[in-house]
Amino acid sequence: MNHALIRMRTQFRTVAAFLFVAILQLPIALGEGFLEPEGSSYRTDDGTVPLVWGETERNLSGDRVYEVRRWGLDASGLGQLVYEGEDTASFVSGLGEGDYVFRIRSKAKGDAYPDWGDEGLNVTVDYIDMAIVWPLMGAGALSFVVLIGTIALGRRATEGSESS
Amino acid sequence: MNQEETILDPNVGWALLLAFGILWVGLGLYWGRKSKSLDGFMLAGRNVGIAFGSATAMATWVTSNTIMVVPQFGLKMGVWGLLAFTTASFGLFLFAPMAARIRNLMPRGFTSGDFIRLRYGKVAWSVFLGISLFYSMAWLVSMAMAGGIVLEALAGINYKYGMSMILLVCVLYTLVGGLYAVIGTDFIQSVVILIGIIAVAIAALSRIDLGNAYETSVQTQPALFDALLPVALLSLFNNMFFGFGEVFHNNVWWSRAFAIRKKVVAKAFSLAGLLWLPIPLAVGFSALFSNSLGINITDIDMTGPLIAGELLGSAGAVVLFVVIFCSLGSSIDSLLAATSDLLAEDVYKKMFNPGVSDARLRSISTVIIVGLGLVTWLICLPRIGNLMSVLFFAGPFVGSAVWPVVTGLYWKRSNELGAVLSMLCGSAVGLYSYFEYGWYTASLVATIVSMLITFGSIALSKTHFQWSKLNEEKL
Repeated sequence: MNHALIRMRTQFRTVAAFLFVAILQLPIALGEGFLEPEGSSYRTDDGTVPLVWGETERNLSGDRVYEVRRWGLDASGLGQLVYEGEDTASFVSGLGEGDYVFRIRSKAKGDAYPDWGDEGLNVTVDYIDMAIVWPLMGAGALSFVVLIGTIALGRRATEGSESS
Repeated sequence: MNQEETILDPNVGWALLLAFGILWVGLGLYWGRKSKSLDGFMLAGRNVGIAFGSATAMATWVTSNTIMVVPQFGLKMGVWGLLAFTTASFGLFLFAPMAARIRNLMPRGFTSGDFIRLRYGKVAWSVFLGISLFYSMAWLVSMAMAGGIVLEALAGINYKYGMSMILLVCVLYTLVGGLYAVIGTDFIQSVVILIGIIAVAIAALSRIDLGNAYETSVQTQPALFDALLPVALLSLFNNMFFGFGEVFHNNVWWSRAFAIRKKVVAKAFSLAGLLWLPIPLAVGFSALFSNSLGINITDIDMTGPLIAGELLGSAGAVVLFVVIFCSLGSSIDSLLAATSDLLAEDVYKKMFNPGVSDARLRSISTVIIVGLGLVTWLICLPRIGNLMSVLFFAGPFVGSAVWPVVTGLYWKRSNELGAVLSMLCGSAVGLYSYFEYGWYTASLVATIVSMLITFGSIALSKTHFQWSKLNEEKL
């Protein structure tokens, strides 16, 4: 009987300790998110995302480690590591056209990461339409050629007077 | 590297800042002894040779933007972004024959404003002055901001103190030495910039395993190596026309055209373009691989300093600090001198006091230099926007001035109505494009609109301009 009581007490302590730690981790796991860009979605026309997830003062002591990953909308699994370390911002660039989800989690140094939350920043990369790009480039190329022609021909036409 | 760490000890940063500050002001005082006349103060006696001429053009064009914004171009737009920035050298190449023409047509000219006033009349002149002064302030502000940002990133010197110190030094030596001091210090600064950039590029190359870095970057940042990245393709032309607009219209370049000896002026600008061409690639290529090197860019404006500090350590940071300080000095001093000339000559003398003596105009110039420094300082105190947004907002304005300047120099039928409409409509449509499509279309659209209006007005024009009217002394 005594043995059973002692075992129950030990199990209760283990469960209580687990719950205590879990409750402490909960706000961190739930509250983790990006300060910038604001909101839950972000649209970019140049494939870049300036991510900020904490005031710089917040992690001055460097006691927390952050992990940021990105997923394609149709992809699951571990995603792609964007940043892991003590910084509280990261400038992401070079994203191809499409939709992405960025998520962040953090831990105290030496601890394990909590599981990923469901919430994340939905990013849509939508480059300017090539139907606008090609005509603009064509007009730019034409303007460039005409400019060179104007200066070259003008120089030739005025060469005599300038050398005198 | 943690974002809160700095690469250099703040005391080392302050020591470098003070040492170079004292050096530039001392050299300003030394060269300033020559600038006794107004011609000497404003245009260095119109007798600058090819070595000093090409060095001053090159150093002036290696602005803090070149050092600070090029890595941003690499990080945001990849290979095309870097190539887009190199097209800014085309402006110097194309301005070379134009500079020779300017010297021939206006042997006693002072400013770019003089040209527009004599060529097109007062309405076009007013519009042009507005554009030029707005652009000059945007350039000055972006450079002073860059100075403060880089000192804070490299040495932990408070943004406001660093920015104030750089402005103070540049105002002081421009004030005491005029264009003689500007061109003299530019020569030394260009040598330091070239040596520093070559050293930084070699050191970075030796620390990057290009094969591995490329493979990782292609995986994680595929768009940086995309040959058809829309924003980068457009920025190629946009940057080129922005560069044309900056060089063709701004008095920084016209004052050099008037200051360099007539026989060597074209060669000096061509040589400057040639020396400048590889600099963006040397400065910015490592930004393509920041991700694969594990360098976390926390603030887009700090891309260059963060990468240099991580790759090259304290020694590299000292070199970068010196290079940036030289590039800042060589551009801010030129802009202060040229803009004060424009305000003194075109606004004060031509608009308010045509009979002013040379001595009085020189003292007005010094007051304007101090005033410009003060206004720039006040605008920069609150850190507004990022460097690229500050700079490229001026793009549509300068892009719209390309065609009035070029056709004004070579075509007799180019006329005032066309010049005014092309500058106004080009700026307006370019600004619309800036907000509707993005900064990477603004200068391009402004230049195209300006070209169409200029050509239309020339086709309908009966103007037959007499070139001799540009020589004010003869008139």
